[in-house]
Parts: sequence; C-alpha cells; structure tokens
Amino acid sequence: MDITSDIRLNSVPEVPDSSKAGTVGFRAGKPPQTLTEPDIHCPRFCARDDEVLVRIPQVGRFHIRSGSLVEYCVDDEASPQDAVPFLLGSCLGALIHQREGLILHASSVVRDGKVFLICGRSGAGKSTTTAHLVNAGGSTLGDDIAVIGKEDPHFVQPAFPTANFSRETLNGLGLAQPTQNDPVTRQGKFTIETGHSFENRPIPLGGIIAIERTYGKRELTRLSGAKALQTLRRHTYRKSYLTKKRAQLAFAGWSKIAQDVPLYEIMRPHGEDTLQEVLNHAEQAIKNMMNEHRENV
Amino acid sequence: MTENLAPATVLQKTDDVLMTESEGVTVLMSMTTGNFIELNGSGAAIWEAIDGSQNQAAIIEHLQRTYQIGADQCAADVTEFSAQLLAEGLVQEAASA
Repeated sequence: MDITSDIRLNSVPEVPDSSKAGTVGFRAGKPPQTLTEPDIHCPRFCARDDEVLVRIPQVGRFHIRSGSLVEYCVDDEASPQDAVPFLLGSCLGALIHQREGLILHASSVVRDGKVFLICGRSGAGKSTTTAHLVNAGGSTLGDDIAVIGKEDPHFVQPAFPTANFSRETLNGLGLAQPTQNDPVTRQGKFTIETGHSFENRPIPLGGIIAIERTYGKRELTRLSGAKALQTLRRHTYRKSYLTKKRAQLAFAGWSKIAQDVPLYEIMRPHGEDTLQEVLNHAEQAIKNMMNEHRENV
Repeated sequence: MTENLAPATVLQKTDDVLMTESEGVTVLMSMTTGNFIELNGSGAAIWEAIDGSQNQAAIIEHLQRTYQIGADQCAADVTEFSAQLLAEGLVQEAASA
C-alpha cells in the first residue's frame, strides 16, 4: 500500500506523488468525537461501513474513511510519534476492510517464489517461528500483518521491513541486543529492521499456518471446511471493526482462500519449551504445501 | 444438553447467517456469535428443509419419507440439530401468522 503521511513513519517509504491512485493519506486534523448512527459502538471505537473512529487513551483519536484517508489528532500528553504504531496497525486494518481486502494478523516466510503466512495470537510465537524459518532459508514480506489479494493466485503485499522481537528471541537468533534508542512496543518487544531479508514485491500465497496455544495438545493438522474458515476469521486483523456488510464480504474472501490454498494448524502447549517442535511442524507443513502446489501444476 | 423442540414449532433462518461451500461441505457462520457449523448430509437436508413455513413434525415426516429412515432416528436427528441451530442463533422461531 502506498502511503503519504505528515508524520514520519520510520522505515516505511513515503510516496512522492500523493495523487497516485490508491494512495493512502495520514493527516492531522479534527476527527469527530463520535459517528452518527454507527453500526458498531464500543468504548474504544465505533464503525459504519465506510468509516471507523478509534480512540486510544493517552494517544489520540483516529478517523478512518473510505479506504483512503486517516485523519488523526494526538492527545496533549502524547507525541505525534506515539500515533505511528496505531496508524500502521489498527488504522491500516480498517482501511483494508474498507477496500474490501483481506488482512490477517500474520508474519510471513518466502520460499521458492511462494509466501507462507504464520498466523497466531499475541504470544503464540509467530514472529519467533518466522524469524527462525527465514534464517533457515528464505525471506519475508513482513512480521505482523499480511494483506492478501482476493483472486487466485492470491498475491500477498509487502508490509513493513521491521519485526518485533522479545529479548529472549533476539538471544535465540543470535542478534545484537537492543539499545535504549530502539523503539519498544506496548508489549515490551523491540522493533528491529529486517532490511536484508525483506521482499518489497507482491508474492503469491503458498499456504497458511496457524499456531494455536493449547493445554497439553500438540499436533500438526491440515484444516478444511468450517475449521479452516473459523481459523481465517480468528486471525483476521481487527475483525471487530467489521460491520455486517463488511463481514459478509470477508466471509466470501475466507471461503475463496480456504478453497484455493492449504491451511495447517500447529497445536502448541502452554508452559513448555516447544520452539524446536513448532519449527519442525512448520517446516513439515511448508513441505506439504509445496508438494500440494507441485501436484496441482 | 439440548432442549427438545415441540412438533408444532416453526423455525426460520435468521438474517445473521452466512453460508458457503468449502471443499465439498456446506459451512454456516453466525455473524452474531462468529461461530461456524459444518453441515454433514443430514444436517444439510435439515437446513434445507427449514423454510419458515414447515413445522418440526412436517420436516421430520418429509425427511423420513425422502431418505427412508426410521421415525425415531429421524425425529431425534431433526430436533437435536434444530436445537443446535437455534442455540447458535442461525435459526429463530417464526412469528405466528
């Protein structure tokens, strides 16, 4: 997605020509306090089909409109840079929904010209798993969100050349420890540039792996039917913003993806050191998905 | 535990249900709960028969005749699955005429 912004977005390249079709703008302004007759009304956001208003305490308000503009204002106690993670996170999620696109909470590994998405809720280990898979051979389209095209072959757009790692993960990957100047997320993770392994071009989707935390259960499963659709819904980024109309469109998108690409689920027990097991399962799933594609050619 | 539905109960599909075919199976989603249900052969037949006009007794009789299955088994399948659909918010009791 091409972005023009009046706030510096760190590692996200800006588009010099803001009139280019499809460009998204982030602009300071005066977002409304609320929306008129919203379809969804929650303490932190309200939504209609073509607009979402998000309020982040101690940060500011964000008004996302028509799939193309985010107007924001920053609270007195916050700095404009505090708004950046929300512009590139929640706001971007709402914009993609408004554009009728599909966006998953997922990191990605590129192998043999296909991208494999690793989905998981916070703490499931998607970033760590992905970083190890990329280290073992591959590149990435991003760490946190994946925007997927609706038609087969489903091209995944490059996200941002950064990844968020815990100190423990940085140790495990043999990366340098962060300095005081490195940005820290609200979850206490360090934002690291992935420059050399980042692919800045759309790549066809090869398959999806969801890592789910469990109590004791551990296995790798190929998903189909309702389970596959439920998994896609579960990992849709900012799905709480989906109005009834948007949910109908998203449902059609999940159905198409579930028909066109393989989905796997890795069950990962809480409270155990299972990184190596998860990596083995992920490598196996990628191998299976590549074989499925070869058989279908 | 599912509550048995009375034979005279008429159910209709709600506006909050989405349906798709995925890899040869029919999948329903409730937009209210976000829950998904996969329909097997008998589930698909029961779903198809729930049309806002036939009551439970008529659906049981229709399916029993069409699929040549025992009355008790058919009644148990229809009432149990209909109660599940009701609990998931995928169907609702039709307003009386």
